[in-house]
Amino acid sequence: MIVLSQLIWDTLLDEFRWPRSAVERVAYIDGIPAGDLQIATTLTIPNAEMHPTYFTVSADAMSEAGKHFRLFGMERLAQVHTHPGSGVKHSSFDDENAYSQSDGSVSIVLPEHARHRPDLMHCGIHVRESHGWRNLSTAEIEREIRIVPGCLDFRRYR
Amino acid sequence: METTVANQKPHTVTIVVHNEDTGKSIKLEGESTDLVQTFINKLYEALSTTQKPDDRLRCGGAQVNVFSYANLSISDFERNHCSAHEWVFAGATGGGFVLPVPVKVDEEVAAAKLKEHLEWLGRQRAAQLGLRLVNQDRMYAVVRIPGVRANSEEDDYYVRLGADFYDKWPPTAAFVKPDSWELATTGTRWLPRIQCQGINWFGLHAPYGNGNMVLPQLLCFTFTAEYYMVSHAPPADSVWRQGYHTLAATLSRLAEVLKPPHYQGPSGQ
Repeated sequence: MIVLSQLIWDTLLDEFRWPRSAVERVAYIDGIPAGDLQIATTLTIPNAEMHPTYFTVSADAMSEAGKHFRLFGMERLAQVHTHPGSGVKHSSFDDENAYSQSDGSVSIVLPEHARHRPDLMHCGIHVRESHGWRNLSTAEIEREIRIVPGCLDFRRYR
Repeated sequence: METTVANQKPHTVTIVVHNEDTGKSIKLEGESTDLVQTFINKLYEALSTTQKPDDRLRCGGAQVNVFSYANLSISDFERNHCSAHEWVFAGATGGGFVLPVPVKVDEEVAAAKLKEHLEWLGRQRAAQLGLRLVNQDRMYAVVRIPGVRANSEEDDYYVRLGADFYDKWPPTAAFVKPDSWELATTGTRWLPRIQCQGINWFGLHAPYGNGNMVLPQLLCFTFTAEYYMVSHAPPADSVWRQGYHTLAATLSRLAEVLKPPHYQGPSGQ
């Protein structure tokens, strides 16, 4: 299970406001594996080529966006990218060009270039299994990714 | 220097590959007499994917490009190029909808474009590259391209260009046998062996298979129609542009990889 702070998700949605043009965005959620849990700590945004209906990240750009792993003992927990319309299923292009084809890899697809700041339940959450990528049901999403508060502020004064 | 391995007792070599796409590490084991290509194959097997032209595999602090030495034994590679037992991998990735898949175009238009653009073969540049038109039909043409060895010896190859998708998409392209224009197969005289050195935009797969897609031959670069029949993530500036690129670009690129240092001779007799 990935434990994901709401702060990271909000930061992701903030960053996906750019560029203004209607192109596919991509980012990665990285973190620290801790037994059965994976603790998300970092949002990584690669220097991708973004197009209206697809994006690419060159090997050089992937390398740049993966230099921190060894330094901090981190791993990539999920890929996040947007689609132009409301569809959040994986295309065959998504299947074959995702950041990893290892079992358990997670890919999150946000609708409409994340313009409406979707929560996880309105995204497509795909997990790589031995026979290919599978779109998780709502119940499965709750078991795969747990969003936890990133900041709790109980101050009553302003 | 690169033959001394024959005098040494084989031993196990372990390479740890750090994957910058995922943060995970992969341990590869083989014999010291194994080719670097064997380790590369094991890596892709572990990654459950196939090599893409843009992939990076670097060794040591000097970041030696491992792909460039695929034909060496691992022992010679370690002795002469990089002794580090840690490699770093990064692969090109992508997502979204596929680039438009080629769709057959109007035959009359395609045939006219093919005929018009084949005239390039009469120009000086084509002659300099050793290109010669050997057969022309309404919807296809066969062009002789020389494979130039390091010692300047030449081997003839024949590439059949098809116009089914032309020129909205590039021509289809395949190496063929000179007696029948049928597809050349691996291990025969008529299919070259190409090991790209310092370039990453070309691959030759015969056959190519990935999931449901199987092609008997794939000249894997952005100037063949077949390239767009398979999921790829090409840089935007390398994508075929109708009205800007012609079959001259396809043939020029093929002539380039059939020269030293990339061309390694025929794949068989």
